Amino acid sequence: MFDPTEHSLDHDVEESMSLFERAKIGAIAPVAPRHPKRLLLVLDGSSQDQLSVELCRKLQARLACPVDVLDAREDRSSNDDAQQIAESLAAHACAKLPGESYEQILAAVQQTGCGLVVVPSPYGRELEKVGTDSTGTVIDVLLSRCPVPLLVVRQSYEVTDEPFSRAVLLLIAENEAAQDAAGWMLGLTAPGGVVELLLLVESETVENFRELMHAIDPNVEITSGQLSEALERSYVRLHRALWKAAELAKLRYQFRVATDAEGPPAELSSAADHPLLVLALERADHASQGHVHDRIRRSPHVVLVVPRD
Amino acid sequence: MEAILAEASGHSSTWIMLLFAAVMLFTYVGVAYEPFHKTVAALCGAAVLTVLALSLGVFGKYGEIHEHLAKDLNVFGVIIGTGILVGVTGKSGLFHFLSMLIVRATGGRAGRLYLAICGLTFVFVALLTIVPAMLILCSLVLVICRSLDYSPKPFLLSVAICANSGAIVTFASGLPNIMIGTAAGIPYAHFLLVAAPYAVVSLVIAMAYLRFAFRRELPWSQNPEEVAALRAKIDEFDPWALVDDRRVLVRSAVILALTVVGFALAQPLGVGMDFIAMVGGTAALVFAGKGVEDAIAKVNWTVILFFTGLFVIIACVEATGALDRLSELVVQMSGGQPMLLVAMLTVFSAGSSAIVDNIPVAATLIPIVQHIGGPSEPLWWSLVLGCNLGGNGTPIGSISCVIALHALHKEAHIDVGWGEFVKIGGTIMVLQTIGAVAYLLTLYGLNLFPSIS
Repeated sequence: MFDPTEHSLDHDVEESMSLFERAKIGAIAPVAPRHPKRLLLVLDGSSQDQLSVELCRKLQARLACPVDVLDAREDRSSNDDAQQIAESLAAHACAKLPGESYEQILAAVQQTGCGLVVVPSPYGRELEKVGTDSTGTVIDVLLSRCPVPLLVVRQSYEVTDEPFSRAVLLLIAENEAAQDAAGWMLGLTAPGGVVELLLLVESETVENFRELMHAIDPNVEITSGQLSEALERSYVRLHRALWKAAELAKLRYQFRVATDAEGPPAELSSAADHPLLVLALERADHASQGHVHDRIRRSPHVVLVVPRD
Repeated sequence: MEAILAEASGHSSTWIMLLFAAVMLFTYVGVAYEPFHKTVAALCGAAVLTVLALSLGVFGKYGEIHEHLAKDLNVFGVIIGTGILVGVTGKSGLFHFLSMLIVRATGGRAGRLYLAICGLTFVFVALLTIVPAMLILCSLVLVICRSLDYSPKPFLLSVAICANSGAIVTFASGLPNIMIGTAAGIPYAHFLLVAAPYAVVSLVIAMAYLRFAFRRELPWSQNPEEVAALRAKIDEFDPWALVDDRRVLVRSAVILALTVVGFALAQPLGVGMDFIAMVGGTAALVFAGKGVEDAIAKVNWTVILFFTGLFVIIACVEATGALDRLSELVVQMSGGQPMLLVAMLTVFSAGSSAIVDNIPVAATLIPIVQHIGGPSEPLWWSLVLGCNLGGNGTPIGSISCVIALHALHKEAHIDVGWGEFVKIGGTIMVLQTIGAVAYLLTLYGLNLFPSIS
């Protein structure tokens, strides 16, 4: 560099100071990994069941947790499918329950005391027909009411190795469920895998902020760079906590701040390694609800939703 | 008659020499004059002198200017390559991380912090050049001082002054070194043999005087309760929070280290410093860079254009023979005594660098030294030491002082006037320059200068 202009000097010094201030975070404890003590596998008779079953089989073996199998289809009185699959998994088949599919699932969660529900989306329909247009009523209700995390199964694929060798926790704003989601992400990632904290600044968010600030003060200019930095600063503690936890768990850790200005981040769209997309759901926050719905709709990958009331 | 004699000697006539020298001086005034952009001043001067050179027959044809510029292409390669390397390495958080790690190790105690900050400044400037190092150190000082409730003034002024010692250490530590090293063909290793030892001495001189000057401005001795409180505050900083990706950090460090080694081995390998710099920059983009476009945009094209203008100006003035005449004058003034010449050159380059940007000072003195006959090694080192240390003399002497004083004013609302600065910086500059002259004369007397073959 050469004689910087006063403006660039001010900007560069402030940017560097922000970086150092980011380091002032106090003592940080590593995120504690969370594992389900019991799994609830929900069948719907679609082609997604195959993936659901395989995921449960692998998780059961890895986490040594019992599995309950529920066939929550309203139009089916026979429980044969659930029995058959339960036998193949050395699991327990839940008795048929009354009510709508989502009522059956919520009742089964209560009865079994499970810690994680594996459920396909859209429920009871083929994904190829519905596409990205809807997550389905069952998922909508479960997102609003289910007290435990959901492992939402989307596009089917053949599970050849340990599932979830890569997991991505996607955050777009402040979220009180982020810490819980990070713990679950660590708990479900395959040994030796990669966990990533991806902070995403969406173009619409930048646009909204810009319009609001312009209305308050036309001279203030908000850029996606500023919002990226703000998001990064707000999650620096989680970043360090995840880093420490990943080291302890012998997982590789990556941290990235991205914008979607030139398309979705590669880790959300590439299908090669079937990553686990982890979303934190803050139920009291409408924006969080909308974000989670939207991401499930658009995701070809399995989505872990960790709720907080 | 004069014109015929001039033509016979290959020199232009006296009035042409004076005209070109005047335009060059006028350009330097423009470079020094704040409201006027340095690069614009240099390019304007280059344009005027090119027209004059072609019209007055100083250059036979336009292509001769390209021939002159071709000699300096490697300087551009070094600037571009190191610019990319420093940009990518900086983005990895490596230097922020290292500096925070070291500062934490001091426990926040004033004396240890002072030593650490001065030492870090010296090393970072040697590796990164002044401006990137100053941005990191100034921001670090401001953040840490806010947290520990210290006045930033002693630290920032110390950083500004110690930076000029760091700028002496290696070939690539600063632009004047790159220019002088390239013109003289000084191997990288010679900087470590000749310049680096005195850089350390000058650092010690600076730190000792600064410690004395600021003896009442910091709590140099602290009781155990204060020490514990400082430790608690400094432990709130986690250096790893500055690192996004550890692998990128490690790769950046490895590439930087290999590039420094490459500089030292450039001559034995038969390649130029510019090649090493470009390879280092390319490796950084391939292995450690996230945004290639951003990294390339970080290269300071302003300084490259400035150098283009400056080299054209020097080439035009040199072609008139004015610098030859000046060399003869300098030798006459020294009475042909090499030791006096060394002392004069050191003092002159330091004194003029205190007032004018040291790049035009170096650019002007380089051809003068080239035209002075006899063993030139002592003279080259006089330029290296003088051009860098002179920056301590005034608030505008060096970009490090400009940055530090501006940051102090903007972020801490503390102003340091010329009087106060010259009292400290000027004294240090004088002491360091005297020391430099003594050092160079000692090396000369003992025939310890490595030969530049």
